[in-house]
Amino acid sequence: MGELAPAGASILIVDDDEGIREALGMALDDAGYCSGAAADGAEALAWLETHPAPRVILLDLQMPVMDGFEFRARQRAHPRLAAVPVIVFTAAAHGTAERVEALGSALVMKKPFDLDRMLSTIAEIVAT
Amino acid sequence: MRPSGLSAVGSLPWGTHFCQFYGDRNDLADSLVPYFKAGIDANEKCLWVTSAPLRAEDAKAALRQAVPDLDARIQRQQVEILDHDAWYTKTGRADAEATLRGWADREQQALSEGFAGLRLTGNTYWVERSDWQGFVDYESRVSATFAGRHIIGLCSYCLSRCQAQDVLDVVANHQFALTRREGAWHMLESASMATAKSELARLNEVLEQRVLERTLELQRAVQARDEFLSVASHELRTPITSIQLYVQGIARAQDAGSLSPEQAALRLRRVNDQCGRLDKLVNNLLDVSRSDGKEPTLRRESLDLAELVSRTADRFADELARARCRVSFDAPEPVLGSWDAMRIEQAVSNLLQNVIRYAPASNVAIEVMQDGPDARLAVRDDGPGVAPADHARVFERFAQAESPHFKGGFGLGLWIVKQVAEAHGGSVTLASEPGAGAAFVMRLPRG
Repeated sequence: MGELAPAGASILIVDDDEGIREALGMALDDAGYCSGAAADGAEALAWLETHPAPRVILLDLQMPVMDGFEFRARQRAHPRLAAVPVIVFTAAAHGTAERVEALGSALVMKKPFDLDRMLSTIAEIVAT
Repeated sequence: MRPSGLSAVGSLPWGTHFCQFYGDRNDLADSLVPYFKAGIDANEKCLWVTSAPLRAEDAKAALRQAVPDLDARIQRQQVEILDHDAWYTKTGRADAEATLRGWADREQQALSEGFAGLRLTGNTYWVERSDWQGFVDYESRVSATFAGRHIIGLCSYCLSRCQAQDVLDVVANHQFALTRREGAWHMLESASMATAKSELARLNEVLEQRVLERTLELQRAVQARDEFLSVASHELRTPITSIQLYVQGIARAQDAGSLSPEQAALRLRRVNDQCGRLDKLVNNLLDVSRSDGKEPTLRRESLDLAELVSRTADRFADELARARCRVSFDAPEPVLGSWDAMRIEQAVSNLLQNVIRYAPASNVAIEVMQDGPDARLAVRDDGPGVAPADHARVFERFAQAESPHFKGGFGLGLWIVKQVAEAHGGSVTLASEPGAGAAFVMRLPRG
């Protein structure tokens, strides 16, 4: 406990599940971050157009409209956003390991995941 | 199957009774030597009754070329080679009945001596023309005697001694015939044999086709099951993930001393909601396993469908709004009937979930009205629509699991809607064109 988040460091949560968005948002707020949320890749791109680049993006893979794979491809092609580190989380049981590997994310977490581990990884990224 | 030793014949089942037409003694040795060598090698007791033009001594000399330890085998009574007159001296002139019984006894003896069965040949050269009809009668009963026994019999006929009519008699009374033509043996099948074989070949094809189809079906079922398990685990993990996040968040905030009572209450309420969601998922799964071959049992009560649908739509208002759906609700009057409230609510929920999942950002029109003896509920959207080819499939179990575009969910929603409608004696239909939205219409007799 007790990682100190730089004041105002912003994190974008991209997940189609409202419960996960809200619970993660609350935990990030508790930890002193400033969080934004999007329900799919397209919403996330729209959010990024209208906000300063976040320090970390937390990205679910299986989402309607635009999934995490396509979002990541577009983000990497975007000059202003390409360098933003991404933590991927997925509930997929199998079949996507190679595609997930190719995403070049900072960390891949399997749902359900440990909140402490996610927060300490975010803290490390934000500290560098 | 037993090796015949003859390349034109291949393997034979026990009970085979066939014949050959030979030209001279060389033809005889040419077929009978490999025939008996194959039997000797396969541990069969071999009985070779010869007659002119190949006498017993000639037969022994010819077979010895192929089976060097022939004399030892004769010694221990695996092989017996006799002239037909010696055979008759030994057995006495017998009628057909006694001869047939003799074959059966010899087969029993061969088996009791540890041999696999009995392989034999007889030469008809000695048969007098005056005896022909009696001999044909005997041959006609041999096949029946051999059937079911460990006996293979090959009857040798000298072609130059047979008249045309005789050849027909002989072929008719054997399962097939061998003839020597252009230096090689050829099989001559009777018409019924050829028919039986082609029928067998046809049946085999049918069987193979059926095996192929069944295998494909099974592969599809296994694949659908695997995909379903993958989807199911995804669906179950999602609420578990948020429950864990709420609970661990509560613990962290508690430890940091920053958890207000309002925050604690809010988060616990959320945990409770997620538990309810998990419970619904598990119930849907149980519906599937319970429903195998059974209709769900209904708890009917008097209710207003318009009110029930309106209440359910309210419950989904937030989710529909988040999916950017604009919803209109039209129910001009109460629609009363006797239905299972919980089941109907489940079906309506599933129809709305379906819109959220497959037609986000669309205009959604919900209508409830009376239509003759039925209640009619329609959920229309102007989303991407469903291809006509998939109209029936969307109501199948695990339909989602087979879709190339993952949208979340078990693929059970519409299947459950159909089960609920049919359990009430009603129906659900889909009208849709790609690009032109979808309309699900559920009809329920008002009971």
